[in-house]
Amino acid sequence: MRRKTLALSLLAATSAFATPGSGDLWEVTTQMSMEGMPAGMMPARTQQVCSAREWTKPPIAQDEKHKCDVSDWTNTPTKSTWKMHCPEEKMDGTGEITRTSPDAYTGVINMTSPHGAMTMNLAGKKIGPCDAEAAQAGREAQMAQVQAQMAAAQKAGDDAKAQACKATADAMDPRMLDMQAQVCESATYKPMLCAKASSDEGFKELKGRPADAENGLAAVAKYCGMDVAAKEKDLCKKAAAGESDLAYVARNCPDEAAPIAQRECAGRDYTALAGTKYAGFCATYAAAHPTPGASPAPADAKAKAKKTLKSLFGH
Amino acid sequence: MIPALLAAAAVAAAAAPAPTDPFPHAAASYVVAIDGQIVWERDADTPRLPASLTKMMTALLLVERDWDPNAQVKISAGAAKATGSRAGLKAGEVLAANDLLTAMLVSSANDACAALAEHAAGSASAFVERMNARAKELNLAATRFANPCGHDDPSQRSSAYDLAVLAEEAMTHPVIASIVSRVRATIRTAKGRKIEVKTGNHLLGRCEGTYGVKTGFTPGAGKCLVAAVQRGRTRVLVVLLDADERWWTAAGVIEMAFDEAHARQQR
Repeated sequence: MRRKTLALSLLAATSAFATPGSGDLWEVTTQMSMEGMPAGMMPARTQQVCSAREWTKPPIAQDEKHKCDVSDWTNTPTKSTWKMHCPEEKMDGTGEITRTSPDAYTGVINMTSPHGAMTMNLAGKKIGPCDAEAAQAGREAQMAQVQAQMAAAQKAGDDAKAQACKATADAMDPRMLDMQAQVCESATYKPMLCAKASSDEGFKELKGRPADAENGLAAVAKYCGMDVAAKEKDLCKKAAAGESDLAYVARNCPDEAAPIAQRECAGRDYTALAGTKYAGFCATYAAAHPTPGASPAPADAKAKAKKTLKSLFGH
Repeated sequence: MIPALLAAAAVAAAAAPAPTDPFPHAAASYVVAIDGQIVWERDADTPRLPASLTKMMTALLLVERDWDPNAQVKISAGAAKATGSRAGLKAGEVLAANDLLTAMLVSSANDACAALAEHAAGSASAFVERMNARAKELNLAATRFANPCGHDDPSQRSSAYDLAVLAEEAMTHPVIASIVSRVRATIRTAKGRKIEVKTGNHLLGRCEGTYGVKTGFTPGAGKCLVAAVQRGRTRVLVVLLDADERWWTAAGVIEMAFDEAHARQQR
């Protein structure tokens, strides 16, 4: 809400060149950029503005509800500068307009606030005389358009931020969420992260990460207060019952995998089973659950391993 | 700790965790490398009989020096009598060197291997000298060859690590990489006799992304395998020496290696 008000004040700046009576008709191009908003999010915009011939104050529209104090106003034939402070918005800024010729100027208004920095670049080109009163209605319409443009840009910025925070939560990496705590409110995104970590899909993904990783299962479980053992048990039961994820069962569920291996892998040749539903399961089981016991290096242990393996797998 | 396979991977190795042994019963010795970096190993430096994995060195020497795929090679009586895996070549038959290389690498034909070694160096023993010199150049510290084709011999030895390095080197040669990816091939003698050869690498065509390299088996060496697999940008090399269930084990280890690669990318 505050950022919206800030935007309105700045947008009004362009139309503030106009005063009642005869004046100069300027074609003014504005380009707004905001901190945290992707470059080019808000395209340049060109308007015709009827403004007073002599500037006696900064080209800033004063919002009655959020009035800004102007100071250090200077005006020469070639340059106008000023400072501004908006107590309501806790916002400070500077403005500068340089007359590059009697019929043209460039300028920039920089504002800072607790919500970030905004910059508005200005370029004006005089295109003739104008009737300021008659232009008033047009200016108001133009202001409305720019206001809408600003609102859309701010919404896009907010959406981009929300999307980035959601992506961080989806990545299930507490470190990242902590690092972005000022942007991604923990109250919103921690539950989102933990909900994914608790889901079957998220839990399997965590199981696949290095155990000692800072975004690994143990770290995330601690962050979310998850009961890992209970989740593993539940997941193994579900995966084995429907054989929906045999690779997971082969690797993580010895109790559930053993009977499937005995039923589907025992005595099967790799070349015969390759390409079938159980090929991956049998291969993973063979690698992940080798013969229990001692190292194969000693002859007796190796003989034991060979004997046990041959009882389960074909050659 | 074994260093990274490739010089390019050596920098990354400095920050990489030491290889672990998650498959203690998979093989007497094994090495699993992801993108040139060894992640899992067991007794990887221990010298063992390499069986027909030896032929990776034979092939490397052949293609590295004056390789003429169309050179006509006459099969000697000795080569024709080679034991073990054979293409069924007869003494006096003439074949193109590339056909013999194909038979040697695809079906591990010892008669083709012997003929090529004799052709290249004049004798098997002279070829073996070259093999040992090349092994030294490659810093294969645990490797010593006594014959060019991998027959069991007390002096024939290599390690899982050395064979991984050798495989990486051999696969840099398109001639070798192309042949070891073939499931079957037809070779012809100069007189037109066709001989069908079929790969012994059961992972080819069955395990996604497998593109070589070599199998081996002798009574002394047991079942051996070097397999190269690529999925996307990730490359996995598996060396198994004396692995009773080499196909099941290799297939499982390969899947886990790609999972590991994925996990490391997320770390």
